Amino acid sequence: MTNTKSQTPTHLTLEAVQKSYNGQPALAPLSLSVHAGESVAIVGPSGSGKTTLLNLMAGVIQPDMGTVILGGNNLSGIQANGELSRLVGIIHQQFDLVPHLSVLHNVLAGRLGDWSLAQSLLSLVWPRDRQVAMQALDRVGIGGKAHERAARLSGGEQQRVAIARLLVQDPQMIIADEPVSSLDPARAADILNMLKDIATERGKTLIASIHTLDLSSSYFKRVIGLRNGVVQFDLPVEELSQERLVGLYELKETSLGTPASHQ
Amino acid sequence: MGPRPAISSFLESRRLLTYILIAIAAWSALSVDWNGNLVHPGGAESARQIFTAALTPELSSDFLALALSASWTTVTFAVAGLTLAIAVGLPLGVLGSGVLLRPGSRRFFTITGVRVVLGCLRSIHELVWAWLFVVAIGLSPIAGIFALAIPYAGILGRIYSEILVDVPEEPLNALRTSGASEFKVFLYGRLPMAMPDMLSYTFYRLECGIRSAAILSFVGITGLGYQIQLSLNDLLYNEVWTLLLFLVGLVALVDLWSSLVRKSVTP
Repeated sequence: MTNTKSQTPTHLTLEAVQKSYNGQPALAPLSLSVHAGESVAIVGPSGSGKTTLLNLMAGVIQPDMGTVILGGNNLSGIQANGELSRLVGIIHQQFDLVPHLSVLHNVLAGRLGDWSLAQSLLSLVWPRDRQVAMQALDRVGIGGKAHERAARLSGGEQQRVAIARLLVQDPQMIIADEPVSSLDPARAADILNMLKDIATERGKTLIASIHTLDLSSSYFKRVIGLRNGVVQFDLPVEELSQERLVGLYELKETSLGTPASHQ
Repeated sequence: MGPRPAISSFLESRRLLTYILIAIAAWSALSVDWNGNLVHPGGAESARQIFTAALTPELSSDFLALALSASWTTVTFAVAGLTLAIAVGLPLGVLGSGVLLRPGSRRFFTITGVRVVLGCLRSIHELVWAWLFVVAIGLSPIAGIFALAIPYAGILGRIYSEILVDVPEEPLNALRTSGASEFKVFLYGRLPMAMPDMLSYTFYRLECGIRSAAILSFVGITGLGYQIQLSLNDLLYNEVWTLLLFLVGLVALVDLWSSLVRKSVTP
């Protein structure tokens, strides 16, 4: 399906990846690959396994079966430390910042994987790499807020700070888990635009789960539909039809988790 | 497994506790000798003297200077005791919260061990420690400071560990995915988020410490409590009231200081 891009190297590969929680399957055996620099939206109703899939891709959780290979590294062999933070960075819907710290320290937290413990401690008093953080804040348009407490910022501004932290962390792949679902449409478009531009200008792979269908089709080149842990479709955005999307969200008996009755 | 759940649910029922408490209250009321000299006969006169003295507290400049220096002494002892308590309670609280350790048997034994230590520290009142220290090292300010610091270290450690555990997880997870180790997560997430509550509780303990330091005067801490004792012995109630007003003033000042500091760390 993605043969149009076969000239760029594969960045992320999932092979027969499977995950369940307390016996409840969250992801059926699932295989897919993403090329370097691609931008992919993952859509699907709530409970479809989007967050599980993204957490597996980011190495936050490990699959029960199957392998996740990112940039040539098997993620199950990598401890969550500086090494993983250079491969992949993740931003969430909200609650991502430490509200009590200044914006500057929140952005510099993206460096924690590289710094030694002593450097991290000293930086709380005399911020290190201030230049890098200020550039990142200027890039996301809130350079003037570096010394404010993160809690004082609006939701949209906090999301910009989270993006600035990703810029400072500088991973090869950016994963965004519902990055705009708590924002109004104008700010949501703004944030997605910024993520897309940053990914393009720095050659990052971008994978995001998106709630609203119009947003997924206007900011991403490829859309994967997920339902009950199974990939329903995986298409370039121009081949996406309205019926497919409607079918993805339509309520079915089976999607409610009621097993075939024995009456 | 028949009767056991029934018994335990009976024991746990609130109604049982209520009956026991009512029975104890009734029994204690019956055991009082209501016809005897329940109130000291000259008591009414003494009470009148004490409360009229409240209207005319001793305000001579000599006595105010004495009260001021006694207040200062009490504050220094409370602060010294509390500083020592923080120095011991903070590391124990961090260890006892288990936030720096991976889940496993080592974490379990550390948490349990530290909790037992903290429990022992705070299960004995500072007055009892003061008695013990007076016996061991004699009347000395050091005795008073240690007596205050030991139970307070246990209390602070316990509360610190609870506050550190009760911090929201989402920002911590975000720090972990930026490559932070648990210790860095502690420095950049857990500690800053726990700080307002920890500070607020520490200030509350400083208030308690000032009251305790005043009471501990008998082990050789001069201060407000010592002066109150002297004035009471001489039946100089107006002096007692002046000293009590200074004690109230100290607590109010700590409260003010606490709210100023808290304002600077709350987001």
